[in-house]
Amino acid sequence: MRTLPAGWPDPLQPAQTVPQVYLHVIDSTWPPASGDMPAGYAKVGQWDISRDLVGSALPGQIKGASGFAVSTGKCVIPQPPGGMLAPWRPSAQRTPTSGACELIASYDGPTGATAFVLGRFRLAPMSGKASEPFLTINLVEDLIRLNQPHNLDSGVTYPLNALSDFIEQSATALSYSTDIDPIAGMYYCSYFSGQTTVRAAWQAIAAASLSAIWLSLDGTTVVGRSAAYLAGEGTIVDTIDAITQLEDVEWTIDPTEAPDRIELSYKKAFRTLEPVTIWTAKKGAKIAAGEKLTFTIDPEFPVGSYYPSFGTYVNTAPDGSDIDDYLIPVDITFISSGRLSIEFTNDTGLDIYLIDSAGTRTTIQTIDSAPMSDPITLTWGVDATEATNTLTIDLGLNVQNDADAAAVLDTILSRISRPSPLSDIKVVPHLGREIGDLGWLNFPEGGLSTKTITTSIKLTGSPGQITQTLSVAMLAPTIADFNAAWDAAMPGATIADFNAVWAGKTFDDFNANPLDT
Amino acid sequence: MTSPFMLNVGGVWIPLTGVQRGVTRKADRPMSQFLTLGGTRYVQLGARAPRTWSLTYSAKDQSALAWLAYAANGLAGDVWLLDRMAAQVNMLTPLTTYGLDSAQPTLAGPDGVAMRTFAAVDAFTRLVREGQWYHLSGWTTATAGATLGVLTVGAETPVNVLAPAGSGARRWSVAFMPDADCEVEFAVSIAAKTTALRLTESSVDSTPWLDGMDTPCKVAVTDPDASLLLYREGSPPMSDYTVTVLEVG
Repeated sequence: MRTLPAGWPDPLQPAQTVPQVYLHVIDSTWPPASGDMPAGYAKVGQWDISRDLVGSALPGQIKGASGFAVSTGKCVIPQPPGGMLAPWRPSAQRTPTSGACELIASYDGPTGATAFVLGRFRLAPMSGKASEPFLTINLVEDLIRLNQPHNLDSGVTYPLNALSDFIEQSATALSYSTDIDPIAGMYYCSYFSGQTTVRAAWQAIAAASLSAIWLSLDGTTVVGRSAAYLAGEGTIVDTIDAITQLEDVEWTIDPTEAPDRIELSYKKAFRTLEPVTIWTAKKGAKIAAGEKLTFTIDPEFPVGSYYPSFGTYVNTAPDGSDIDDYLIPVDITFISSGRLSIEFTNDTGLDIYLIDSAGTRTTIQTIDSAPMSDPITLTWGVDATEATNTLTIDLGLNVQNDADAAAVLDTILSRISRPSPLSDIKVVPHLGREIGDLGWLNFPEGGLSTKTITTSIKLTGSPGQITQTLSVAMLAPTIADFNAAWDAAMPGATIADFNAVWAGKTFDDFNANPLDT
Repeated sequence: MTSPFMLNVGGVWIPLTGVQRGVTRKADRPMSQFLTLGGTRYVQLGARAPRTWSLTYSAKDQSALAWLAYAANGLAGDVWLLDRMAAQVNMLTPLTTYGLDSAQPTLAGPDGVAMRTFAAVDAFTRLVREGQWYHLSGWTTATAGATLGVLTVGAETPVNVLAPAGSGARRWSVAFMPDADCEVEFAVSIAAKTTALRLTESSVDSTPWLDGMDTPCKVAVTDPDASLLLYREGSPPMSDYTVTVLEVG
């Protein structure tokens, strides 16, 4: 939950003026200056932004594919007659330079003291017509850096303390700040294939520990929240009173949703110092004098250090029959756990072949690696032959020991018995709300009083109107909440006190309201 | 000749004579309502209320509308409308009659209602006409004789506006008549002391303060609709006309 700037009205004030929303294209001379708008800014007519939190630990999402929270948006801006964007215009009116943009809500202009950034995006392809003075612009989250092949370490030679450290290292190398809850667990190596994107790799690590990961609203910080936080262990930042703040409370119950069998598979890795060959030069591999040759290898399991590390012996005959060997430099770069780049430089002055005088072709070997076992599967529920609704989860190498896998399975079990989320509830807008906010929803008239986590926010704006729609997942009270309730009501309470209060009640009564003291 | 409306086309003020009485001035402030489960109503309002004037002419020939039709064709560049009835209330925009910087304090102005004071900024600029008397007033707590602001009328020498005798929150007023069509600008000199500005074409003394009506304002003119009445050989025909003028910008 972000704080609104000073000068904004209280969101719960019954009659208030809505702020004006502006589009700011960063480092750009388009939109051209017009009226009281400087270059790079435009007033926005209609706009919308939506943001979804996707995480396996959240109720209602356990069966869905794990995803990375992404925001999208759209806005409509007027164009001054002299500054309409078109591909045939001079460059200042043709293409904004960086494509990075922001939507800003403010009461005193886009650069005033009350300016509040609603979201930071990238401009999606735009289209328009000569007859239309208004331009509709689609906005997408800036994920360019995250859609590249990943840069995660393997952790073999330089072990990391926590699962989350793999994400931290990777995020920092990509120039993000980080705000990631430590993810514990016994875990000391990682492997993702070379072409896996950064986003997919981070999400796989987060999903395996039932946490969630997303980019902050301004696109600068990677935020990671642990399974404990997603279960409700955190500070409540938002209290919503249904009667005075919600238009309605909508729910869905799907009888087919609960799985009756769960299969959870994972792999273990074992560290070894025994050399394993991960690459062999092809027959007849030749490097002409003065040339370089580069190969990119995907080792297919976590590797640490490798041999040769600085040079290899090569021969001038294709079958290695020449008596003398030459030594040429080898440069191996560890780009990520799934990509190693090997560069041979022929500085001998002669054409050489990647084979030595003993007839052995050049190989690259790891001398510190962690080969993976076959998948191990944990199950819960009825037999495979009787199951009607099986949930299959593959944690891959992201959980590497039995205790952690069993803990994940327990957590999943508690998730699938939770009530389904409340979707698309229209609420009195507070523009500081963010996905992942823990809140409390009070609806005493309907018998609902629950902790919630915000999983989706949609904002829609038009002249004189801003609408906010939330989806929230209902979270059960945790032991921490139970303890806090008793500490508040009766400090130093004992089991005897608990028994006295709950005498004569049933388990159903307790389940209905576990925090009743 | 007095006329209730004047049109500024290409920098020239042209009176709109012969407008029939009964002109409507409609304000469209965007507004939305949100009703919660328990019936609590929340209202969201747009920051500004753009206005629409419907001017009608009865039994006039085309000369009454010459410049409105020219503006409707899109040939005129910026077109301004001066609503002289609004100019007798307060010519400033609603948001320039008092300060907007929340860091500044308020002072008890007209009828004791607290209004926010200006910082030492340019309070407003307005288009004014040659030969018309204008009156600017406001409330101040500045010490008597202090320069509370500087009034610049077009290219003329800027004039210091001095706080009147007395102490506490009290009213001041000045009058000026421009030598040429130009812009008047008022810059507040002392922060946190002045608010409740009112600029009118008539005397300000009868009423302490009225809310800003933002005139003259930029407008877009729609093409005139005509109801043909009388065909006269050798003379322009007479018709009833309706023109809609929309506030823009």
